[in-house]
Amino acid sequence: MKLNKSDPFRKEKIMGLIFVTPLLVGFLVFSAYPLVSSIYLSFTDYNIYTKPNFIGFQNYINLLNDARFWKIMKNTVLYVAGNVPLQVVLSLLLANLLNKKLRGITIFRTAFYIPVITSWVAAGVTLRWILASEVGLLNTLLWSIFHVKGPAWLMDPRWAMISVIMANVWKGVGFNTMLYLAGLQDIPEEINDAALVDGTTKIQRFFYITIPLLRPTTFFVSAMAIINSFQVFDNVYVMTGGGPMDATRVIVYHLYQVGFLFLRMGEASAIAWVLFVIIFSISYFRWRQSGGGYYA
Amino acid sequence: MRKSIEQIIDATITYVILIFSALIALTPFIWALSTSFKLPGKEFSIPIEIIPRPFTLDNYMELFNNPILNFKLVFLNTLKVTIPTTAGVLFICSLAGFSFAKLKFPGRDYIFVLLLGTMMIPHSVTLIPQYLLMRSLGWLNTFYPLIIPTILTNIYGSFLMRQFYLSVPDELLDSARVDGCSPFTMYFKIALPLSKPALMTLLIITFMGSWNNFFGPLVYLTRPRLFTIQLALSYLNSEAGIEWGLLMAGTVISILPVLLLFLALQRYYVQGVALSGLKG
Repeated sequence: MKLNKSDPFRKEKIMGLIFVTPLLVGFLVFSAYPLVSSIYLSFTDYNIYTKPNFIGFQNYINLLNDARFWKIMKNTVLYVAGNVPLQVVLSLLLANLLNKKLRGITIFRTAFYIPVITSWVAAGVTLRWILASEVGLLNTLLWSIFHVKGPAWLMDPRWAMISVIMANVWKGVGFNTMLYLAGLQDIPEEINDAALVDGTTKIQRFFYITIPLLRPTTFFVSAMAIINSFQVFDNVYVMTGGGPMDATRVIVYHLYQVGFLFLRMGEASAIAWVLFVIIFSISYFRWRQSGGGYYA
Repeated sequence: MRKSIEQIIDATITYVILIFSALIALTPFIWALSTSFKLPGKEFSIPIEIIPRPFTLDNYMELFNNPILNFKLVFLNTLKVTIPTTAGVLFICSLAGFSFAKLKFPGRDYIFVLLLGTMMIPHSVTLIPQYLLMRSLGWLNTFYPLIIPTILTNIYGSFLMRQFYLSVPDELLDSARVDGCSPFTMYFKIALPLSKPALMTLLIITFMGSWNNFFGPLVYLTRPRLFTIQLALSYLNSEAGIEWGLLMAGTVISILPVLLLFLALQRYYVQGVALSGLKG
């Protein structure tokens, strides 16, 4: 496109570009450059204090030979596998209940949203207090109602991961419920009405109309949940610090320690790229499976 | 008649499940609030007291008056991050969104798709080079790393504003063009006043994200005098032998501003979430 002086929109074209310049600068400085730099760093032994040496794939080879890193990967996959289905199923069910035209229903929408808007630090600290082994509210209630002695939750290697997943479901369901609710409100009422006339039951309508029509929402909700779960950090940092005995040590927590506490920037960059490849492969695979139809 | 009984049963079951779920969602907050009013040593009293006796504000006093905890400074620090961030995001995103929607400049749609593509990059990949960049700029232990990238890489906000401005009729702007208005005047005098709902959505989402941000302050701020509220709370959390009452008072204080803003602007917030789930 030429910008000659007789063009009446000349000024508008120049200004249009100027208006998006801040974002272009941000793109170059804070996205494009770090992306390239991160690939380079992952092939070096950079540690802030000495000049980076190019060491080829050594960081990656070390990671793949590191039993602890495999355990961390396993923990992360476990976290994703526990978290995502629970989020999808619970938020789908809650959204269906919240979609009913009942008195006072909006109060519940607000209630489910309060954990969502809370920071992970505040939520994590509070849940640590609830889950405290001897004096926590949960174990106190379990004992006084059911006479069951609850486990030490976050302090018990067998229960720590389950507790962290429960915490994340507790905090995240409200958000996904809102996405499902938006999806439900896009389903035309005529479809359900027509099915009603045909004599279908409520359960049939749920499985054969609601769920198929919500597929784009389910795709989006689960895609977001997978991407976010693979990058879990805040709640692990606040609630368990990766412990006990590495039971909740996940990839980004490990990356944080390697990079920012031990200052092994090269190794940390390699960890980041392993994570990127995992997330990208899963997203691409799911996108292909869905026929490439959904834009998410 | 049969149908209405069915409806009553259906409504009852719905309410029971919803009330039970809402209790699970809210109990931790009620318990945190309750604990924050308890005296040291009284946190564990059985039977459980929701409204404690004696009722004390000591924990809150301690947070604000203790020179080491110094929540007054912590609050101020957090505002020094959140206010410039929010103002900057509102301005830059609405300007860019307006340009992407209404000004026909060369390469516009390519640039837009390119920027949207960056939303797919996981944050952890750019983390380390960004840190090294901030370090070489001398920005460690300043608030800039928490403010500047948030403003300049806010693609979600620009997308949100663009979608809104697409719904503004072109005729409105054409008459301004005939009158010889500059593009900035069109943005500032016509588009911006129309976009109050979208701006509110962006305001609450940005403020919340900035207020609740933990990883950024954790990496970039190491001097206690610069701690933001999430960092200060996390620091308290890691102190061995800290009183639960004090910790819960900190939690309540950290949630309150976000909660109030959310209750005031809830409608806009939900619209923003719904839009993030839209395809295309």
